[in-house]
Amino acid sequence: MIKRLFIVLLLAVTVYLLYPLAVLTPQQTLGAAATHVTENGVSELGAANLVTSVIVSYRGLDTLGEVTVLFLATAGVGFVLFRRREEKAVKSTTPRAASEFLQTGALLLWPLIVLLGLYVILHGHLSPGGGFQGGVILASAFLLVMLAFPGAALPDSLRHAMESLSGLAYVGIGLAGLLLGDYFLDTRILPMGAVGQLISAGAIPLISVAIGLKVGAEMVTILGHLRKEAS
Amino acid sequence: MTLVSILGFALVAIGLWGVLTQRHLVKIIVGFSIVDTGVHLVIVSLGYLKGRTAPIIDHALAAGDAASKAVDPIPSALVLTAIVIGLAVTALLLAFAVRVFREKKTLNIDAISELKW
Repeated sequence: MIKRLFIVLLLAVTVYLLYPLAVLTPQQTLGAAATHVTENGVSELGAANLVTSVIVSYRGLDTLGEVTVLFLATAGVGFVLFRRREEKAVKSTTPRAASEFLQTGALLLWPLIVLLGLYVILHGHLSPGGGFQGGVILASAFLLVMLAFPGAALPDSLRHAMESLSGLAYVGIGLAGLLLGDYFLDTRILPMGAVGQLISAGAIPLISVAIGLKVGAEMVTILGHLRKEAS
Repeated sequence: MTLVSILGFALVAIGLWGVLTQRHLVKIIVGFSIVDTGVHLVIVSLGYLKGRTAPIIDHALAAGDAASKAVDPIPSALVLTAIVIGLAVTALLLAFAVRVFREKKTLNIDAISELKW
């Protein structure tokens, strides 16, 4: 009974705290930061997708931090699910094979999903998409393969190399911005190109590729840890 | 106050209720995910301006018109970040749940009383 009371009380306090947001009238014009981004974003950075220019360049440091959080979460999952060698020996059941439909479908769809993921990554500065979305699509292709072939082992070394190199590339591009440009993660170190072209917007596509490979590798690592646990 | 933000607040409340009342660890994690989704909806709705379009320059939106015709791109960028973080947090929570199950053979939080006082 007293627990119920606390729960109702807590929900009431939450509603009270959120109330000022609720009565806020929707804004009619953009704020100062948004005005700067929408007015000068294209001429400053050359990316057609303004959301991407905010993520990769204006708030680039936040995105680097976010990739770090993702890496930490992956490391945490691996740490929490770690088994000592003697614990491993206990279980020796082989997982049941997937149905033929899933196996055939996975083999058919796997390259197409990877292609879509790469497309979304590479067009992040032109259309909705970017490193995070494309990276998750890439990981979903590998999830499909994991579901279809439960016994198959993933090449760990390739994934580790991709994870490390893409993170290194991201920081490397940031440092190149510091050396060649004006500040850390300056994307204007490469030629701008014409707005709307695939090769344009300076270093933004390169950073998108680094983020995409990093996110994809992290997601596959998390899925791999959880799969090991299930089998 | 738009419909989307009302929906977002409702999801936050539902998720909190789930986190506070459910006894099953996976259901608590689902509650966290619902809170996440609600917060995302609220932030996106704060940046939405009625009658405006997506902040992407193409044949439908000239670069000079962006300030008067596009919605706020910053909340969208924030939510994009938050979605990935939410996913990472959910994965970590699920890993903890797996570990608890390995030690206790149950996911009922009543059985986990070491830190209870």
